[in-house]
Amino acid sequence: MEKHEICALLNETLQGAADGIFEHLGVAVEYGDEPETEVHDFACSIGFTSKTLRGNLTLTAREAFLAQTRPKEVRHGVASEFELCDWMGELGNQVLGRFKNRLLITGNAIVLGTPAVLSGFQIQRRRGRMPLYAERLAKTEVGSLAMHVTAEATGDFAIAGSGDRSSAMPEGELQLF
Amino acid sequence: MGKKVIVIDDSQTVRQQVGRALSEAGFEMIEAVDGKDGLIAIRNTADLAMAICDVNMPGMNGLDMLEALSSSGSKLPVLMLTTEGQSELIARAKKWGAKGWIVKPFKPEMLVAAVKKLTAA
Repeated sequence: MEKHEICALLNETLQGAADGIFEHLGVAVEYGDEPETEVHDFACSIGFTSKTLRGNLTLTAREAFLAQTRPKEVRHGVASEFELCDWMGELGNQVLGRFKNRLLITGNAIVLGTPAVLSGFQIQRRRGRMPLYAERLAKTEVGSLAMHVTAEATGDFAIAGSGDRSSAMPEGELQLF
Repeated sequence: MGKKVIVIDDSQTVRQQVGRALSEAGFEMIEAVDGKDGLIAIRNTADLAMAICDVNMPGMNGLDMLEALSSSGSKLPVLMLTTEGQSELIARAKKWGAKGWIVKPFKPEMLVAAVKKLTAA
């Protein structure tokens, strides 16, 4: 596959993952096109790998966005920095999990790492040197979340034929054995 | 006191979500932050009715924990709660004796119903 085709696939997959997350959280977001101009307070990074694709998902967010999107069951008063860092990591986990499940349909199964989270002042992510990338900036009235996928692919990376594709168990579903 | 359930997840947010849903349904909750911590807690806790376990955790992941638990002869029911939906991972969990699999995010009422069913015996 050509670089622009893989980037298009990664962008579409990231968009689908983001849409699913915000729909579940009940948060109305608008998407912007310039993630690198945003300045954030928290960041999360998770690596992923497979035989043909490896890379990283990085999220950066404003404190207000994280506070607004925390699951309602755990919202009691003002969230501490620890609680916001924890939610940043879990949010990254859920975005990348949905990303993985959508990529499975193309026949590409990635193995996920675990989140590394940091908090600070004026965090801005730089694109770096990986040749492939996908970016989305999600905004609400109180803040924003930037999502970046960077990756590199081997020459074997491809979208599988219909016979070789697999589907993931849908989010929110339960199977008892 | 109600039946004891352990939730094993590196995210405090998830542990609190699970804990709140099950506490309100009358269960007594215990927490662990990864697979290794979970194995120790399971070994040291009497009268545990079941475990709810994440997959991707630092240290020891949930599937390795499940395998270790099964290999030790434990019959504790384990329900996997994870963002993973890949069929090969689900098959691996089944092989090592898991009783179920939920892909996050979960609805509290679904989790409560599953836990009530798995702890009914």
